[in-house]
Order: sequence, then structure tokens, then C-alpha cells
Amino acid sequence: MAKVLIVDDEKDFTDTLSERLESRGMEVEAVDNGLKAVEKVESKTYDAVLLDLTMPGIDGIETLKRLLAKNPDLQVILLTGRGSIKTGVEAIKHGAAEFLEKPPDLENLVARIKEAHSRRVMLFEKKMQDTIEDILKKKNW
Amino acid sequence: MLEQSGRECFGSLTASMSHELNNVISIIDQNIGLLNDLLSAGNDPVVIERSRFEKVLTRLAAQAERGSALVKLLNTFAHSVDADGRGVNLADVASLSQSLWKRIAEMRRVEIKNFPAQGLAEFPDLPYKAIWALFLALRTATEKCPSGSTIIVKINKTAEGSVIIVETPMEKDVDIAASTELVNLMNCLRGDLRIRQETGYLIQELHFYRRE
Repeated sequence: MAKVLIVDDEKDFTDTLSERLESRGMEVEAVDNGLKAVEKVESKTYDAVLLDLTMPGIDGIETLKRLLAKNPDLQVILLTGRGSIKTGVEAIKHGAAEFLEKPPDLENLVARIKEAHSRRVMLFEKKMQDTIEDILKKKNW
Repeated sequence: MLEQSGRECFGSLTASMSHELNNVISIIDQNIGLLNDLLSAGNDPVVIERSRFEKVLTRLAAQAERGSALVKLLNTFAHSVDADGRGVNLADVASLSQSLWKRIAEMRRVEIKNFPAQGLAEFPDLPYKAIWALFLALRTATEKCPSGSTIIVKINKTAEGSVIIVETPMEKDVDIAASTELVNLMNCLRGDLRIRQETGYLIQELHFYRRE
């Protein structure tokens, strides 16, 4: 079951999207600003973070930077209005996994979340493998 | 340079409103999707849990109302360039600007409060020029004030015409020089810009004079 964190200040949007993703078997949490998102990823692991680019307080790009500083392997999918595609491209350069225009097509979004989940598992397995190889090397095995 | 400032004003305000409209559309889109989910999951529409159905309807109704208000606002803004708008009440301009600025202010975590004059504080030119002047004054204000501040906009009648006063809480050692664009625009409007610092506030006064 993929664990998803939605970061968006539009409560009606997060409520509805949460309900739809949950009905597709995902575990969903939602927060309404970047600072709360950073707190969440400090205490819990998520397979994907759906992040709105335009929010009050710290904006999407700054939130993205802080999230990745906490967890560089975090899979962040940006949701952006049509006017901010340029910012979305900039966000990819800052390490976002994907960016989708709002309103997102749900089936496409679900597919992106599943891909993010697979990437996170792959990165975790790679890290474990590297750690094991390091240990074996140190022991000359 | 002045033309570019005008484009920036219209660009920023319309971008902010289109972003809001896109949020409205996103919520409507998700709720239509949710209804489809409920029906395609094999639920009989007659027996879909009433509370879930009512929740969707409430959200859709709220967004329809929000969208309608945004379209009205956009329409009023679009008509601010109409030639027959000359002589508009500045209180109406301030109220429109407050609505246009709502999202930008929220993004910067500031609040804008209006105190309109009693009676008519007439603006001698086309309304969009007053919106533009107030845009530049508010942009300076939001750049200078700390997060969480309340910016106060007062409209008054004067013996010679009318004035917009923008009062902004500010931290010490903030540069209070006026923006060049606002100085140039006020010159074009044959108005008068007065800026001063007063007990922790930046005060911008935009004076407009009656024309014969």
C-alpha cells in the first residue's frame, strides 16, 4: 500500500483527492502548508509527496528544497497551475520526481505515485545492497 | 518603463485570479471524479450513502459560488479601462483592489484592510489607473512589511480632490524610497506622492486633484 502525503492549502481539494486515492488502496495524509510537510517527513516515511507549488508562507520550491534536505530520496510530485509550468521545470531541476498540471488526471496521478513507490523501493534496496557490500569489503569477504 | 509597469500590474493581478479559478476548477473536477468513482464502483445511485453525496454537493455549490465571484471580479477589472468609467469613487477602486490582491496578500501572509471615505472620493481619470497606482503602493507595502502584518488602506476626500493612504507596519532600517514606477505614474496623473515614516509605519499618500 503506497503512503502518500498531500501538501495543498485548498482543503476541499485535499479532502476529495484523499478520498479518491484511499478508494484506490492508498494510505493518505494531508497538510495545508510547507512547514507542516517538513515536520511530517521528519517523523514518517512516504512513498510520494504531492506538493502544490503555490501556497501561503513558504512556497512549493522552498518546501521542496527543505523536504529533500531532510530526505534526498523522497519522491516529490509537484502539482502546478498552467501559469507556472516554468516553475515546474525549475522544480525538476531542484530534484522533484515529476510535475503535473492541476487539475490532475487521477489515473495518470495514480500511475505516477506507483512509479514513485517503485523508485523509492529500488533506492532503498540499492542502499541496503551498498551497505552490505561495504561491510563485506571491510571484512575482506 | 511606465508601460512595462502597467503590463506587470495587469499580468500579476490576472495571473493571481486565473490561479484562483484553476483551483476552483480543480476542486470541481475532483468532485465530479469522486461521483464517477462512486457510480462506477457499482453503487446504486439511489443508495449511495447520503452524507457522502451531500458532502460532494456542498463542495460543488461552494466552488460554483466562489467561481462566480471571481468571474464578476475579473469582469469589473476588465471594464476598468472603459472610457465612461472616469470619475469613479476611489472607495470602489480600493474595494476591487482588495479583492484582486486577496491571494497575493495570502501568499505573503499579510492582510489588507480598507477604510473607505464617507461619500464620494472621486478619481479624475480612468479607474484602471487608480488600480495601477494602488497596485504599486501595495507592492511596496507588501515588500516592506513583516509577515503577519495588516496593511491599512484609507480613502479620503480632500479640499482639492481625493487621497489614498496606505499605512504599512515596517521594521527599522527599511529603505522608504518610493518606487520609480509609482513616482512616474503619479506625475502622469498630475497627482502628488508623499511618503513618510511614522512610529513604525510607512505611510504612502497618493493625492489626486480635481480637473476642470
